[in-house]
Amino acid sequence: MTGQTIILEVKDIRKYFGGVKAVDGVSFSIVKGEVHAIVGENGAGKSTLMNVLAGIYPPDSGKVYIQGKAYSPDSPRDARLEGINIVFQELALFPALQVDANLFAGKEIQRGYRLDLSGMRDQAQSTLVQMNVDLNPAEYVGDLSIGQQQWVEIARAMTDQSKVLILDEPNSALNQYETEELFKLIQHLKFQGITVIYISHRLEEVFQIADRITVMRDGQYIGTWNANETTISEIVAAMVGRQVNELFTRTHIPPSKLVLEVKDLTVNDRIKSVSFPIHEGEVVGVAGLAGSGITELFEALFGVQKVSSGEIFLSGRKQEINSPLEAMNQQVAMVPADRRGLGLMLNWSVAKNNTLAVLRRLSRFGILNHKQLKKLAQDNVDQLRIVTESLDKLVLFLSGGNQQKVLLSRWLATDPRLLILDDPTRGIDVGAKHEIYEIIDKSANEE
Amino acid sequence: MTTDVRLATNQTVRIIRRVLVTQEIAVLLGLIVVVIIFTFATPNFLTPFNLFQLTRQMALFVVIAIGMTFVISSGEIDISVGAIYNLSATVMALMIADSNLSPWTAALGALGVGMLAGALNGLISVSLGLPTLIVTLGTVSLYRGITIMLSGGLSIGNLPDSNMYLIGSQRLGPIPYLAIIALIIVAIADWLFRNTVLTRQLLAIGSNRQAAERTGVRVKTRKIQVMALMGFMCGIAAVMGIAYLRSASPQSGAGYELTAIAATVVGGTPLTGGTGTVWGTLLGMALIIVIQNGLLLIGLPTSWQIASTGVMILIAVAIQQLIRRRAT
Repeated sequence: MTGQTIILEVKDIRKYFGGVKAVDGVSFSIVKGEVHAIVGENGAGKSTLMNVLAGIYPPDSGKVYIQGKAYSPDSPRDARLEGINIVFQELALFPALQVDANLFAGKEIQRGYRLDLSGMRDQAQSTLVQMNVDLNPAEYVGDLSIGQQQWVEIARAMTDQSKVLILDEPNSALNQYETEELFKLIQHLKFQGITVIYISHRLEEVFQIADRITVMRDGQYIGTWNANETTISEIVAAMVGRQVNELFTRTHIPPSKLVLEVKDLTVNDRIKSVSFPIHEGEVVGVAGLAGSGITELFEALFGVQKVSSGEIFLSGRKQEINSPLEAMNQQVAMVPADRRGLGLMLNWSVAKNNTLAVLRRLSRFGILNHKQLKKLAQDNVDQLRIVTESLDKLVLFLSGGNQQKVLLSRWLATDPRLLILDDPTRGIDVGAKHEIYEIIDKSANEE
Repeated sequence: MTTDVRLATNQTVRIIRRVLVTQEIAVLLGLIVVVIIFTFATPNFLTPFNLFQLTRQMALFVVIAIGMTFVISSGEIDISVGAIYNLSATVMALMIADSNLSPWTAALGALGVGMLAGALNGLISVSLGLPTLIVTLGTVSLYRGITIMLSGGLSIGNLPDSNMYLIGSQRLGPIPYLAIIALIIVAIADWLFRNTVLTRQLLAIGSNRQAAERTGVRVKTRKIQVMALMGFMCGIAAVMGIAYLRSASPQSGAGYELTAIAATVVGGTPLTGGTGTVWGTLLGMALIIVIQNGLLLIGLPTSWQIASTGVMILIAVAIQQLIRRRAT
């Protein structure tokens, strides 16, 4: 195509971690001013490659060129000086400081020995205006929504006169509205000549925003497509290495007995008078924008949140559930959305994690039956096809998809009659998502 | 320049990782090395008398440290253990001296007082929603105050004869009875640590309190229970202390909490909680006491002993970090 300059070129980049070939000979190029998406399953090597570009660590071999010039940063600082900035999925901001302080954290403007506070405030303001973002530089970052915090991170990159902005899974924590705002911002940046590299698992959105899409698989470069010349299926097939016809097929069975009935449930001011039934064998999806109260509803059903008024009936009998223990005694189970913060014991093994909910069942007079525990742990791993070399591997080292499976198996082991799943496939690649849907389908049909 | 330093550190780290498979092995090796060093450094170290004193002292501290291991594994800490020890010992001594009870009955008093004091720590923490660090910061003064009120600030000694003091002063072969009792307690504690629902849940709370709650763990109850257990261990130590000294002094117990915490951390139980090792704590205590004893015998002032404990905690935590960074 005419008028296209290549801004970034990677040639045969390799990065190994011990025996793991994270990036195994990847070569491709990024065009100036485009929005270039990089997709791939967990472990495909996208984040590793981005870390190399952002100066987090050097490649073991291979070369990178910025506008034809050799580029090998010793640190993220060097990378920033060359105009390459990365915004990570886990935001690295200072909630107790204001927006402008965050923008200039580590690169404060000084007047002699003193901080140029008004100078930073003004520059922050103009950067935000330039980005077309409605944000007050005097606000405290801790008071902002996650979407707004992301803008601050991007603005931080903008104060460096970035040429290339790398966004690593920017919208996994955003709701639909916030994602649209983010896309508007990206378009705006593109309009100003900034190149954006966008890593994501959400393919529909990738197609919305990207000009070109690169697929990586198992550390290798598979191909680059123009977004308007390909389809989701083609990309998924490239990501997974095989044809995937539908995203998921569900085996439907006719609903029978009532398992749960909620009548006029009110929880604080988050949920007002909600009523619905759930039948045996059903998989009921609950959808809504973030903040619409889904998590609060789930937590009320599980005894984490207090019910202000209304009734809950389990298998026809009215129940008061005031704690997770009471919920568990009623054979209700819940997998929370925040699997790392509210679900898993990260410094524990797979076995200890997936047996945690059934300790009383596998013990006598308070003494654990280790043989039964080990058997259950192994069964859990086998049935859900959790990928791990051993039962004793720390859950911390598992991929996101496998971590979610461990958490899921913990609760499936309690043999619940009602299983509540809050966003169970967040931040998980296509292959693992499919497996989790299969598990859900199978569990529903077995209940 | 920086790359050279990086390479050198990487090499050292690699060697350390291969040798020190677990923290317990690291501490054991350290203990052996230190014992060898002190044996050559001074003739007074490897004498029956010194070893006798050493192991008797260790016995007392180890019991407290075992309780501390449970507490720290559950994500809490207790800095009032010295005060609880003091209170329990004083109550026991008073029961013997004033109420003319036999030491064996009075021992029950020590255990009861210890357990109650610990439970109170837990209760205050749970009902006010305060971390135990803050609560025990306050109860130190409370318990010491009560001790002084009860004892009038005086030592209680001249306790009448009893078999109990024989246990405190005699030995089975070369090993003091107190050390044997301590070892039995360690073995029982280790078994309980690895095999009970209680501990598994305590560890869960230590690893991720909110997640534990959502798994049906009664967090509040467990917290009170572990603090009560801690107090109970202080009570046992107090009984051992009385058996050892045949008296109770108003200053006893000072600094016991730091030694207990140090032994726990050096032994491999992370301060952040979630996992723990009882045998590690025993080895950690051994290392600390041996070093303190050795330094004393060499003739170094007491300040060195305090500093040495501090240095050991730092090294222990550093090793902990290195071991944890090994990617499985």
